[in-house]
Amino acid sequence: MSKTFRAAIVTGVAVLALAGCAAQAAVGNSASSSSSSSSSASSGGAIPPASERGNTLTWGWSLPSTWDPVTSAVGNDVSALTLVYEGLTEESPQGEAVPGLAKSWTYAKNGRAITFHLRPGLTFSDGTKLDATAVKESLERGITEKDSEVAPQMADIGSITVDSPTDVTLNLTQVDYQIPLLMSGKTGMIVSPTAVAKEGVTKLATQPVGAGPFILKSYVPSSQATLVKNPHFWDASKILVQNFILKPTPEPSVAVAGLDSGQFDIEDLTASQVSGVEAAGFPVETTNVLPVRVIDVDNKVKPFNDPLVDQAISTAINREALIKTANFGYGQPDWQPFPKGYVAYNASLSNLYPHSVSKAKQLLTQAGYPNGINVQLALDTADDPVGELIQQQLDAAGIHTSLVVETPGQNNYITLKYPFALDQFNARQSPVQALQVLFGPQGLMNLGKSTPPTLAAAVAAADGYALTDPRYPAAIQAAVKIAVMNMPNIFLFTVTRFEAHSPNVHGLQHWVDIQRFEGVWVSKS
Amino acid sequence: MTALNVRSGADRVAGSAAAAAGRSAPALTALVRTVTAIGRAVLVAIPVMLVSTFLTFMLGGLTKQDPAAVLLGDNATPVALARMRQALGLDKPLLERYVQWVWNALHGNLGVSWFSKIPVAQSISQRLPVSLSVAVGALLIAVVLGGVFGILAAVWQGGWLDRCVTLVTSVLATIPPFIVAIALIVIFAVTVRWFPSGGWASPSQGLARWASFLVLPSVSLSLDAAASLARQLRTGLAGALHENYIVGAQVRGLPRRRIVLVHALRNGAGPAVAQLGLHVPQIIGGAVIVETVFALPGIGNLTMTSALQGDVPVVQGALLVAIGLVVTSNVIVNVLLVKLRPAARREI
Repeated sequence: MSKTFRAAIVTGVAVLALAGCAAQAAVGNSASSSSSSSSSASSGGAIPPASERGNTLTWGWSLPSTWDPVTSAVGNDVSALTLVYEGLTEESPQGEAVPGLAKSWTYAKNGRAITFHLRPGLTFSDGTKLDATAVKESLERGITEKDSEVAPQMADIGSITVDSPTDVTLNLTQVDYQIPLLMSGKTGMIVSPTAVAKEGVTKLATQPVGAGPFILKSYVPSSQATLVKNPHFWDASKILVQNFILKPTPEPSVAVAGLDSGQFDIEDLTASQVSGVEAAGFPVETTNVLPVRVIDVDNKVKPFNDPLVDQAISTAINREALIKTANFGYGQPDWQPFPKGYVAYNASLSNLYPHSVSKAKQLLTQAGYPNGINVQLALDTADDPVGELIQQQLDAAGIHTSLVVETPGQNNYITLKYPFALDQFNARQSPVQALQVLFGPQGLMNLGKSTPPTLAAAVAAADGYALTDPRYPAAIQAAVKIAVMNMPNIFLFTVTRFEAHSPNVHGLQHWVDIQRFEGVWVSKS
Repeated sequence: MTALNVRSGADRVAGSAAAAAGRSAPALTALVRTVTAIGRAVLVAIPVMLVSTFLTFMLGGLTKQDPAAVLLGDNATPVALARMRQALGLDKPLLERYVQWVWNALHGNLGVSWFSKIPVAQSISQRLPVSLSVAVGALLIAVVLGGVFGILAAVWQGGWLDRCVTLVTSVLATIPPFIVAIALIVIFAVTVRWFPSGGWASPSQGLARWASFLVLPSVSLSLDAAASLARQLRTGLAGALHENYIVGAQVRGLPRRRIVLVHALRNGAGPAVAQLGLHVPQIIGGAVIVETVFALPGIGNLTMTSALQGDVPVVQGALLVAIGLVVTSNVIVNVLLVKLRPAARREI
């Protein structure tokens, strides 16, 4: 995965999980507790009437690579795209599926079809009616478009049928209860069929037409996107600003000046900037988002083919020290692909292989390497401090690594050039798809492409429960445990998103995945 | 555009129809010369464009970059990968793709970015003003600084000012623009806060604001060119000031200012102007780094990101623009040289 991508994704991910925990503004009908780290920041109490609120909110984040959700290749784009597009479902701050354009959905008894029941009277921002036919056309474009980025996620959708103007059914090729989750991301964003037919797909890259909270008014790539509130958004009453400006994150050196001068109301930060911005008196929201840092391991390649070696490496890594030194103390040590508080997080794995140099050496000896091993650790960017720290830590246990930077413009998931590569798993809206990507027999991040048979069965079992089924959490967690205990991937720590904001900004919530702005308002300064 | 090619005037006049016409109609001669210079430059540009765009195309293929796989990231299932390669046209042979690209480019269609899906022509037209502002700013600064100090040093040959200029230009010529850029940020953006540390505002957002974003990048790109310009001008002018016709002019009692700025400068500036022409490609190349340091949304930045991703349509488009800029600047310099000293005219 290329460096640019990685950088974009890291930031993106960081943003996705963002802001505050104000329970009173919880979207849809989701539960109110905040999933992740930091405490409530900006719940501003009662919301004043519009005349006493500010009109404009400026967000320092990253501009999307394209405004077309079907061809967007950067995971991070999803939060910007959510400004103009609405999905069939939305994601709650905790990452659960809640109603969006569809007010509800029902599965067929056998789990092989799902019908979404749209809200009546929906329109796109260009005035086109948003009915079941529009939904069908939009979803089908995701499946058929040649350069579609979402098609692989829609592999289970066999056909789409329009039952009535407000009912659309997705017929599935296998039981898949994760569809409502998928429909909250880029996959489920509904694009105006008129815009596609009239203007052509290319125009969508700069002129999106959706049914989201805002309408894109003007856009200068790499510079600024100016949006206005969409009065026809189904949840428009929760959108409390008229104008929304999206700009690239400011240079680290001017982060404080940006907030001070009012150039930005909310800014994405890196861990290194947090203390400086806080010292300047600006609140910083921290959220443990879904992505996690991980080392991809190819267990078809010696010496990683020995599970004892992989376990020795995991034991030799001091995750707390990585977090403290490379990440300024932000993040949770992790031995699994999900952060604490997420439905798929398995608490029994919370301290799976505690750091111990002697234990690591002992495991290596057991594996037949009493004198240690020499391996190569591939990095995406030369300046990732995590790589050098891991090198030092492994060295102490007799695992001698040389660092190498991956060739840009290539994808290690395809070339399999580097069997031991520092990476980041950028999560999926669906935990089942996350497990398939990481551990499935065709999973791209499963470099060795080997999977224990018990895992496939466990994943299928989890996929066979409705998301609301009380047995679902236990089933998905059981699958996670089988995967983590049998697969070589070495998970390190959770990614944290930092968002500094002006004291005038209220109502931010901590979103574990896609950042949204319902309930966010600005007080007049 | 290399060193001067001075030939005997008689030899040249004999072989040149333009010069013959020139005797009767000087204005027409100038026009014909200018058109000839432009025509020659275009003739040179065509093979240059073909070779360089072809090389870029080949490089993409030879380095085993796989844009389809990069685009798909952890979604790159075999089926998706095959579809994406087809969508990008990567399933066709390299040569066929290149011929197709040239054909489209000739029809004004530079294609669509593989990553942003934005038409290449649109991306470039949005970013070109940024790069041009910085490059023109850098050239202006280089001409003013280099010109003033070059002339002063030549006039006071061997004096303290001459020695100072030589010393400072020697130092500046060895410092790469990105070091200058970082130093300028530390001094003028962080310490005294006169200018923003980076970013961009279009002229429509206020000319002063636009200029404030331009100053530091332009200065950091210009110093190298200013230094060599000053040195070339000093040498050329110093040589010219020792010529007999200068002595003659002095004897006739012409004012010193006129002798230096008209008689000597016209003859001594040739190498410096040629040097300036050489610096244009360097300024365009240096913009990649300077645009990164100053977070400018220019062509250099676009090219670098696209090259790393293997976004061939964008790289090719940017390459065409860069070649166009270099060729244009060469034409301008050629015309200038001919105007300065007709003896400098040369065949290509």
